[in-house]
Amino acid sequence: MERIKIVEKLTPLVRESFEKNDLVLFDEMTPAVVDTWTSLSFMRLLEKVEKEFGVKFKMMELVKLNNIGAIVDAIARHC
Amino acid sequence: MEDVDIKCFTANDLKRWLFHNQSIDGLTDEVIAPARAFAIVNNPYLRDDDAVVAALYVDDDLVAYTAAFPEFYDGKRIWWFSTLYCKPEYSGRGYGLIVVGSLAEIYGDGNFFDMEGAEETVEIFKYLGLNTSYSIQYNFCPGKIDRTSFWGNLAYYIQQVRLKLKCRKNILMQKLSAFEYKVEYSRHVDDESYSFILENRKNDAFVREQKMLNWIVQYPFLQGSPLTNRVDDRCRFSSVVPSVTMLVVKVVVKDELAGLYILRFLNNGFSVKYLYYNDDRADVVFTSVAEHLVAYNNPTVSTRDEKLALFLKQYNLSSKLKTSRVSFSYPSEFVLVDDFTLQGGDGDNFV
Repeated sequence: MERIKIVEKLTPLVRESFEKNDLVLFDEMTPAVVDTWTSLSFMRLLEKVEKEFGVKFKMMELVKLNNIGAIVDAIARHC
Repeated sequence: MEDVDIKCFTANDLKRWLFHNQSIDGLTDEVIAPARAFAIVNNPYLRDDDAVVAALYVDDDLVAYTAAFPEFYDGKRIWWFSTLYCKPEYSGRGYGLIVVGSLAEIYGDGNFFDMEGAEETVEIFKYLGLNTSYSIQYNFCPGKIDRTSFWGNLAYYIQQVRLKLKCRKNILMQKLSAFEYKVEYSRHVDDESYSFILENRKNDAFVREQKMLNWIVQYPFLQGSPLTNRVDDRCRFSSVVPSVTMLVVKVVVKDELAGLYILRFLNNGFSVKYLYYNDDRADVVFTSVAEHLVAYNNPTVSTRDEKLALFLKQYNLSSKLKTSRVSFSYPSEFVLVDDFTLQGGDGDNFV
C-alpha cells in the first residue's frame, strides 16, 4: 500500500486514539509533541491499526515504533 | 537512533546470580529485588529453563521490566505476571507491552493471568488476547487526624480508646456466647488446613495445591528488600519495609476448625489474603480477624470478602472504608463461573 494512502487511513485512527481532532500527522511525531500520547492511548492506537490494516505486529517490531513515520513504515511492510 | 535491547532471564539465571554470585549481563537488583528473585526461584512449579524476568534497555539504560511466576490452573501450567514498570519518561512507546509481550510469546498464546489496578496494564493484556473481569477490594484506611496540636492529639486518643472499647466489647460478647474460640498461628498450611480450604471454598476462581499456598506463605516478596533498591523514591519491584510477615491463622471452636485465613502484616496494617470459614461460624471467624485490630493502632486493613468488610464496618473504625476495583485478566478460552470469587492473595497480590 502506498505511504500516502496509509497516512490517509491512519490519520483518523490517531486522532481518535489521542483525542485530538485537528492533529496533522508527520513522520517525526512522537509522545514528546503530543501530550495525549500515553501508554494507554498508544495501546489503543495499536489495536485500531491492527484491526484497520489487518496486520499483527511482533514484539520486536513494536520496539521500533517510536514515531508516526516508523508506524507508517511498519504498516507498509505488512501491507 | 536509540539502541533498544530486550533481555529475558531464566530461573537458572536468577539462581546463578543469587546463589553463586555470578554476573549475568543486564541482571541487577535494579531489574529485580533479590528478595523477589529468591521468592520466584522457590516457586514449586518453576523449572530451571523457564523465562521469568524480561527487561528492556535503551542505550544500555534499564527502562522497563516485568516478571512472572507459574501456577497450575485446571491441570495446566499458567503464568501470573507480577509487576510491570516503565520509566515515566519513556511512557507511550509501548515498552511495557514489549516486556510483557516478550515473556508472553515464550509462554504461548493466552497461557497467563494478570491482576492489576492500572488501566494501562489492563489494555496490554486485552491486546495480548486475554479477557478481563473485575473484583472489588475493601480497604479500611486510617482517617487523618492532625497530631501537631493538643486538640488533634486529644481527638486521636479518644478515637483509639473508642476503637479499643468497641473491639473489646464485641470480643467479650462473643466469648460470653456459645462460640468461645481459640486461635492458632503458624507459617505453614498443614493437611488439616488444606482439607478445610477444599471443603469451604466458595466459588473460588483458583483452587491451589497445598504446596503453592505454602510457597505464598513462606516466600513473601517484600521481606528484607535492601535500601539500595530505593531510587528516586521508586522502589524496584518492592517497597522498602523492615519486615513483612505472612501467617496462617486457624480459628478453632470446640476443638473443631471453624475458619482459616492468611494474614499479611506490613507496615501499620494487615491484609486478609485468604479467608475460608464455615458459614455457621462466620461471626466467630470475623471476630478473630477484628481482634487483630486491637493489637494495631489505627491500622490499614484490606480484604476481598464483602461479608468480612461489612462486619468490620460495624466496629465504627476510625478508618474510612474505601473500595478499589481490581482487574483480573485471564485466557479467553476460560469460562469463569458466575459469582466467582478472587481471594486477596490471588495473582501476586499476596505481596
